Amino acid sequence: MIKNVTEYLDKTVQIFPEKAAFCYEDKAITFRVLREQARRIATAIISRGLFRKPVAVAAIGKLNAVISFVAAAYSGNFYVPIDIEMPKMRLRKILDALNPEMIITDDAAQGGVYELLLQAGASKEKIYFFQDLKNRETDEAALAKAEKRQIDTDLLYVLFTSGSTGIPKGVCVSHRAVIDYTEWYSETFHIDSRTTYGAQTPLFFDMSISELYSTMKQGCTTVYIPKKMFMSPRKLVELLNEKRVNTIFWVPFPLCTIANLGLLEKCPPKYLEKVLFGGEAMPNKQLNIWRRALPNVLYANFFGPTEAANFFAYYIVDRDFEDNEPLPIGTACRNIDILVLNEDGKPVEGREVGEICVRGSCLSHGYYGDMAMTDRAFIQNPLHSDYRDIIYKTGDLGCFNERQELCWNGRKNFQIKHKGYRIELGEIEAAAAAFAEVSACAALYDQKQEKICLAVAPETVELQKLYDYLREELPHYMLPGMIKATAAFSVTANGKTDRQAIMEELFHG
Amino acid sequence: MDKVELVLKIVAQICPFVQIGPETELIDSGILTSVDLFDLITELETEFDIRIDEQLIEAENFATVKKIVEVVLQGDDC
Repeated sequence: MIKNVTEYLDKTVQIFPEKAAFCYEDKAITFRVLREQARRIATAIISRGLFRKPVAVAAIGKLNAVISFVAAAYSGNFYVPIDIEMPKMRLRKILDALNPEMIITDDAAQGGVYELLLQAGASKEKIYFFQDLKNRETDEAALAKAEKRQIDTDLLYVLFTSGSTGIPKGVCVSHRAVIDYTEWYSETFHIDSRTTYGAQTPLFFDMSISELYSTMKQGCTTVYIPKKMFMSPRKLVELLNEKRVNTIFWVPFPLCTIANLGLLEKCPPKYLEKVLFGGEAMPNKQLNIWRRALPNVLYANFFGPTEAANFFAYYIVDRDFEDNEPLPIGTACRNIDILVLNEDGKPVEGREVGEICVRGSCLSHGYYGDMAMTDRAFIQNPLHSDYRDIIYKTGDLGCFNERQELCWNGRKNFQIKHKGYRIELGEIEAAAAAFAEVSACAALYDQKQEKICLAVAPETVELQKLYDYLREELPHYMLPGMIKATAAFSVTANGKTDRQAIMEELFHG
Repeated sequence: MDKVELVLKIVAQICPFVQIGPETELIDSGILTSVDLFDLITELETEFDIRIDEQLIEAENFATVKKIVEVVLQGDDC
């Protein structure tokens, strides 16, 4: 019985010690070295007196980040991956909520990341350098003690996501949730030591856990693809071929780019066996281009929020679709229960649309330091009150088609997916509202143009100053593509901001 | 409007509120993201009535407005 994800690594080291586990550019780390370095750093973490505490990881090097994550897990603590490109004001909010006793960075003192941490309020004594930690001598007794105390419902990581109130939410995920997901995913998709991933998603997004933990469990090789490669599609495909990547698990955007440029005919990724995608709806128009060019590849769509480890529903593409048909979300992963509930809290019938809710070991423990928000999103199953049975309300709407497959019908609230990023429009509004000149604002999403539009009042707001201010508050992917100032906002009959009218008047004029 | 000015105008639309000159570094500075890049390509193709060969699409070729103009000059007329 597994209670800590590091047990996967322990087992794999026995079988494939010298195999490259994780690679980035010209560097690679074997399973044996990964385990060894992680245990050294884990010893350092333990010697700080930490147990079941957050260890923030602000690493520049991908491999250093992975080693630090595993180190946190070996030490009985949980890791919090930090996006080092985040503006300092946002990082400050995260560090305030987390209050970590330890922040690991591989930057040099006086380097950009180190400076960012200080400017975000981190104190020097709490910042530790990876270069020093990895030379620490391993204390097997201390590690054994931590291993014994740790239990599977303890946290493995906290991932911060966009918060509609303007404060990022730290989603707390346990070892158990990740073990539950990894077991199902590895088995269902036949992930084994032959699997070579070309990894796209950043380590501070939950999608990265598929590659991370299945690699440790099954002895795969994960090649992390440098971000710049996604601006050079031909080089990207050439890299996939060079590294003999046979499995990719990406957000739709780069898949669509490759399809649209005709690369699948001109320079096909010839080793690909599995193309897995999630995080946003994959358009069938581009999927069909892939399917025509590479018909023997397995294609699968995944669905689920950070609050349920990674994904809780999946659909292996098994039939033809028209270009403009949406792909189904599919069915629940094994050991997960999906409920689609209507306004009365009852399961939908027939083709009725309701809110998608989920129950199971996959569930997050909630939001770090915010019990109130946790209680709003993670509620008692409305179908009974016999015993404590928690469901998570995703805010996604869905219904079942004739084949009993779950389909997505949009969002209940103002969360959007923009180029693969999950964004609460409320977070953008909270940032804009805090700008002195702004008296009212509304953030809208133009689905067709894939643009974030921000409307502000009054007319006199200096847009350049507002934008400069937002750059200090929001990550680049949340910045509006267009800002318009207006005297007053249109309101609906019952006095609420009429978002549709604002979109029409200000942005489509 | 000459090509440099026109490309500057298009890039400014995609990356609003940022001071951009013909030699401003766009990629490593984070001004132009991978997502913006493909919006930019679509706009360039529409504006200049050309098709940009995918072999030209590389981060290095879009690092400055001047470099982007070179890509446009190599575009195939539609």
